[in-house]
Amino acid sequence: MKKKTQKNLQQRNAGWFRNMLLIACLLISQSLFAQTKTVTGTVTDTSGETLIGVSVMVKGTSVGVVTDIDGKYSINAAANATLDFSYVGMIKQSVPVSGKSVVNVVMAADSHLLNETVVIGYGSAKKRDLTGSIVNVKGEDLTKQPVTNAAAALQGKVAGVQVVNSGRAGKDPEIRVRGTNSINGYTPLYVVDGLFTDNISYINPEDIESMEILKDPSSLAIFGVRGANGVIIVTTKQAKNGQTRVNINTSFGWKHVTDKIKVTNAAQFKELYNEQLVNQGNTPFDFSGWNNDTDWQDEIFQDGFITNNNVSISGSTDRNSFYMGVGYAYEDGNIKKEKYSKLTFNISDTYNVLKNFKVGFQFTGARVLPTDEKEVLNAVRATPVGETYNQATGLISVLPDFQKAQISNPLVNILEKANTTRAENYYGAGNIFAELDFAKHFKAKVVMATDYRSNNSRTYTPIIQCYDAAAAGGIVTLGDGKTAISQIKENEMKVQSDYTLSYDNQFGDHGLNATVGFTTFYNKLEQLEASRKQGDGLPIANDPDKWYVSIGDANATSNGSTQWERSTVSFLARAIYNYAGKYLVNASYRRDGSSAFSYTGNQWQNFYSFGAGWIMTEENFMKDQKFFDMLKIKGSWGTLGNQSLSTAYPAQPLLESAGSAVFGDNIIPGYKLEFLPNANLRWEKVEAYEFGFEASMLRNRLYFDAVYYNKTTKDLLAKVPGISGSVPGIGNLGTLRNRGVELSATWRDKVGDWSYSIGANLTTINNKVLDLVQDGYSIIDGDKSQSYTMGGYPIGFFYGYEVEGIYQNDAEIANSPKNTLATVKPGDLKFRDIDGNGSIGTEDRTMIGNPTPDVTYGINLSVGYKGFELGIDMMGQGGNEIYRTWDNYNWSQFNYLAQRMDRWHGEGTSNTQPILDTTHTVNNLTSSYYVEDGSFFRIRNINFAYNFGRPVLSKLHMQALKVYFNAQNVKTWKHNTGYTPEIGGSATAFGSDSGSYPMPIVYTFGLNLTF
Amino acid sequence: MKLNKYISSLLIAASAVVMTGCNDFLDRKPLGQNTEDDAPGGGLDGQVFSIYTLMRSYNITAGIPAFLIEMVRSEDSEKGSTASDGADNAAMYDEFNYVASNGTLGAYWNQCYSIIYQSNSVIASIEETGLLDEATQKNLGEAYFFRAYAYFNLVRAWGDVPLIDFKINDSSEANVAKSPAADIYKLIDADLTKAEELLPTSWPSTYAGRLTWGAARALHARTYAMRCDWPNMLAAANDVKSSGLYNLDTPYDKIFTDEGENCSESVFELQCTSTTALPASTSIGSQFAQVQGIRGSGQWNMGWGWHMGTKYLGASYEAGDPRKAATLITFRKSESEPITAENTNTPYGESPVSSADGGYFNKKAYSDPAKRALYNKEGFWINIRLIRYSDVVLMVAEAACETGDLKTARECLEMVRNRARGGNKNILPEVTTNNQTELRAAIHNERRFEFALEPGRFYDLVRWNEAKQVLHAAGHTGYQDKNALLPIPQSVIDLSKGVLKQNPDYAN
Repeated sequence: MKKKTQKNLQQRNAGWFRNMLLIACLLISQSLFAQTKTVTGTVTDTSGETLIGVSVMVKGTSVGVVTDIDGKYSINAAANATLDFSYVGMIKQSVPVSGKSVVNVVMAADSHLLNETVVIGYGSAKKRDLTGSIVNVKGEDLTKQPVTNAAAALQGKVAGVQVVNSGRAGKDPEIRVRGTNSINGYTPLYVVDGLFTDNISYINPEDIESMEILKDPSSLAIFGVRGANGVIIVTTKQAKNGQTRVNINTSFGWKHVTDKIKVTNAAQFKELYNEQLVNQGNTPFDFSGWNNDTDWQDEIFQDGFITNNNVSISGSTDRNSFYMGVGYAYEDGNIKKEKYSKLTFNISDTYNVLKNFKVGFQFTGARVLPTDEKEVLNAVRATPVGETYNQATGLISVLPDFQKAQISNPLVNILEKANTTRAENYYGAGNIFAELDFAKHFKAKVVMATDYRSNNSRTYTPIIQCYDAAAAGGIVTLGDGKTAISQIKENEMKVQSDYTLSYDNQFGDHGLNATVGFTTFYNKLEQLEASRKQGDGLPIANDPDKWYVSIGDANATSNGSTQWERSTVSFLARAIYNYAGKYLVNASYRRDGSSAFSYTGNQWQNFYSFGAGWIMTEENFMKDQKFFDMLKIKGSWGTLGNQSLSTAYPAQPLLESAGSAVFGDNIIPGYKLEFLPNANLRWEKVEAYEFGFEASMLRNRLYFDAVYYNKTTKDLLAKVPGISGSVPGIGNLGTLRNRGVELSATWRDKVGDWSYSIGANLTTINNKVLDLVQDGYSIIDGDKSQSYTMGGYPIGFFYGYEVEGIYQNDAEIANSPKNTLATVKPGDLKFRDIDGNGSIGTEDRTMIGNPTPDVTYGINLSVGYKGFELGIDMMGQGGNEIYRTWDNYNWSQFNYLAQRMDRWHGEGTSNTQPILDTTHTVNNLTSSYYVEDGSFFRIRNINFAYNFGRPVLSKLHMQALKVYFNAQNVKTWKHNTGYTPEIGGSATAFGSDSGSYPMPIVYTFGLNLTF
Repeated sequence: MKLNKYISSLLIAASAVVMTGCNDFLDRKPLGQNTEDDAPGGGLDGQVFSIYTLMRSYNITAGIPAFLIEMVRSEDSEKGSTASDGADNAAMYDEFNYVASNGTLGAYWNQCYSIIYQSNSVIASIEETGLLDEATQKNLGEAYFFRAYAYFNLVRAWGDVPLIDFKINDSSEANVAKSPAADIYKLIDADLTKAEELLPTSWPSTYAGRLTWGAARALHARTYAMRCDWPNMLAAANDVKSSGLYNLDTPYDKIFTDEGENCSESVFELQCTSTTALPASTSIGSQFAQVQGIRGSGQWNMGWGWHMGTKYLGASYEAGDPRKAATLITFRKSESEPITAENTNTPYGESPVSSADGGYFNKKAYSDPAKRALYNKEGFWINIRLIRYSDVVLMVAEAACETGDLKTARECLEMVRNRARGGNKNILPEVTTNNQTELRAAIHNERRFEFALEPGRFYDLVRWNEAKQVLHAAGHTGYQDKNALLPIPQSVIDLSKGVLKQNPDYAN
């Protein structure tokens, strides 16, 4: 009878239905009088095993018990009551008592878990049929945190996805999927309701139904030249079947800086600075008149207000479904006067014209007033003896002589220049589509989508007067004392059209889902900028209404523009096949044509992938085991493309304007080649494979997924800095590999009224540049040339000297390998003689740090009890280093890091902190002295909520009401001196602390109600 | 099944249409930007003009790297500014603790090679097209000049350097080993000879300051001087002198004023300007006066105060030499210090206030207050005088002296002293010695004060073999003979991956 597993499953279900019907019939026929009595029974699963801990509730009451170790329960219920049985991983059941005293229940596994549908490129598929690694994150998991960009909430949630968040209001996070795959960038592709885009900052997180993160070759190859860095598919909310719903969600709170950078106070500064001057042979500074002890960080920071408000309305009928949402978010920065706001709206509608033909549209609009971003760095560098304001004049004071020429009083930028850049950004993105089902199994779909962004900003140069005791009259005007205005207008347009035809059928044991398509993509950017100075005209008032270039002197004008366009044409095909629901095979193909290389005729490139899987639990030999509910072994291989390159025309010999020749007062523009063109350029190609398994165990309570991945980027496109004055060249120059393991596990269970889950994920990243140009060649990047990209080492590793200690005396110098780099003196850093040749030279440099973490991990806990919910997210990373550069400059005297109090100032005083003397530049060389441990662990988020129960809700005529308290970035355990260990950067220079922005703790209270 | 046929034929038809349309859709020309294809011939002018911009750069003529390498190393110039501002550069260039990782080294090196790269491109383009018209040939002459100029900078600073005299089409081609200094000079000679043939003796006034034969020939004389090749130095300098194109009629104190721009003794002068729209922009002006400007507060915040004249220089002038006042700016240390005749400066009567630690600011980079009010305080419009006629005259004097023609030498020396005298017969007496050693010393001395705070003093000391003695006497006892040449920038060695070797004196 049990020929096929598939059938087996169906029959099991059928059997369960029969049992249920039987029970129901018996109950109904015997129902006589309704009175409270004890009802007992046993709960088993379909195979007859008893279930422990099943929640049994009397419907509409708070009366409930759980089944005991034998699966038995006993509860008092009215004869006409209904009992609700629920259990993790099983389908919920409601069984009427109908006067019976024994109610036995057989619960079935929730096959929905196995039939979960996920969105993939150009369609959707059953998760069980796929062989790759796609992670689905629900919208409600993203909106628990107060984020303006939903991607920021992914931090620590998904294996293989590294999120570097910023504490700046409205700042986009940096996302890396499975490491840094290119020296040209790492940004994944976002696909918002089908539209390809580079960021999702304009989307209101509340409007997001779900996000799918695609990481594996079999699901990425269909994105061709855009697939290499991973794809994040965003699906916005659509109305669900049923009645009209109104949802209101509002939260407000504040954000506070917890981890300040420890720098010296006035007394310490004076001590160190004068010691330094004496060491350098200069006379000590006369600090008379500089009696302040200013904590500049306290002066510039504030507790910021944050609020987020959303209203959405959705409704659905047989023919039409409709969703509309509007959101408003406002956030102060943690630097005084910084503010950010975003207004979004989203509307979508699907209309069924015929039974098999539907059309629809979706539109998202946003208006963002971005922050006029200010830097913290001046406040860290400014000397604490500096004065904030001069009492007599009320003006901001300049800093002492050793700083004022290079470092302005931090309050100048923070207060006097606050919001002198006014930006307004507008976004409009949307699509219309038509979908026809025909011949039973076919579906044709056409989508036209556009994305339009308009970024406008105006910057005003004010006249700023400061107090300076050294100047005549005590008042100085900064800069040239003239006002100016500059304006930038930037428009970016994306136009995309997709034409797909898909076929979905099950014949016998064969399941096939096939898609073919054609798509075009056009992207254009135009930027116009103009500025006018006051010139010989009137000063421009410090009033934003006046800040347009028309107000300036027409003779003091400059202007410019930037523009480019790119286009792509692609053909695609994919087939997902399964045999008997246990053998899975899929293949995909994409042919991309790109405008970037049309000049050289190399525009076409092919990408493809294969995947295979085996669902072992469908095999007969596993049908009797109880441990696994599902066990799938999977693997895939494919080629992916990467077109992230800063120039739109990499193959063309572009001339850029290169200043002007001047003859007398005659000005004639000059040109030079922007970069050396290369006729053989083509896109980078990533060859990737992965294999692993996923399993649901212990009645679907434990889910486990483990994957080994390996991505090799070939033909790395690099803009190589020119050697000996030559302009940079672009070429396909190397190979880069990322590999590692992704593990994720979730345990979910329910004990009576208590439900809880524990999720954990862990990713290892091993990044290595296999070869680059030629042996020993390196790309050197970073503000102190500390970041190297070189064959045999990880991308952007820190290259310099390893510090052994401090030279304590002349004897030690004489007895140590001779430093040939500079004349060293006691108190200087002592470098390790790596090559052991008895002297310290440039060949003793080595890898002193790696900005890519070896491991990133996240832990997510949640507990529910009746209406209460508690969620805790934690995350961290380990094995990476941070290279500090902000204090390693000699162009001015800076305030000292507090750790400099431990400096060497005589034999035996320190073996870690060198002497204070900026003439000893050996201490400024790239060395492990500036390397800090980048590992950290953070309690990222705590969310505590209460859901009101039925009685309250029905009184209020609501469907749901939730109040919550949330705390984000609760605590970070870190080892570096900067504000945050999360330091991003470019693909070849990241993890360098050249001045960071604090990551504040954010407390919010919120209310979420649904009518 | 009919349907399937219909669909497949539709697909075939559609894809045929699509395929032809695709290539049009993908054909995108750069928007609003020229390519080499758009600029046949006409592009050459533009490429040559871009070299003039490169020449005005912070790195080789107008900023800290140029000043440190070419001037601060002499006894008469110092880093300037305040002690804590760039103390590492003072240690390196004032006290000769050379460090290969010093950032200014790489900046100077790369700028020279940028000029060489751009010149090579122009030369290659002209050779490819074979254009023989007059305008193109002049462009070619300019390119040869600039290449020679950059190589002369390099060979003086480092000795052996990589020789690249071809157009680079791939970055790796630029990675070549060092050539001996003699080979570099060979290229310089060849380039300047060609430049002398191709460049005109003068340009219409719309091209004031554009390269001429005189500039090429005078530079050639300088390169011979550096090699102590007296006969060739004499011939080259004499050619320029006897051409009659230049004279010393401009009073010394006018040369470095706005009035003195492109005056009768200007042989090569980088042109800088400001407009209402671009009052302080390096795209038409330079940072020359900003970097050397008075470092004070309020109205005296005229710049960074780098490269200052030493007190030692101030004390060394011959009594009454008017060139002292035309070269050095005296200043007060604070507002409370009284204004005196001592600290009041010609020609604008200013008594600046600055807490800078150097002796004097450079009056050869001093802006007119009227223009400061018009544009800004930092003098971006001030031209950079690179070759003056008095240099040519003193080169004639020096070469003549070395070759035994003491009469010519004395005459030329007197030309310069006479002009410096400004009509005052009581100062700067004529040098009348008939002793070659004394005359040589007098000429060397004359160069020091005629060109004080201009580039070249350090290299003069090096070529005369006097650097060690003079610098030690001035208290810079860190100087050793090897310090005549700089270490090759570490950043460049790192990029070359072992192809470039450090100068032996600084190698591990």
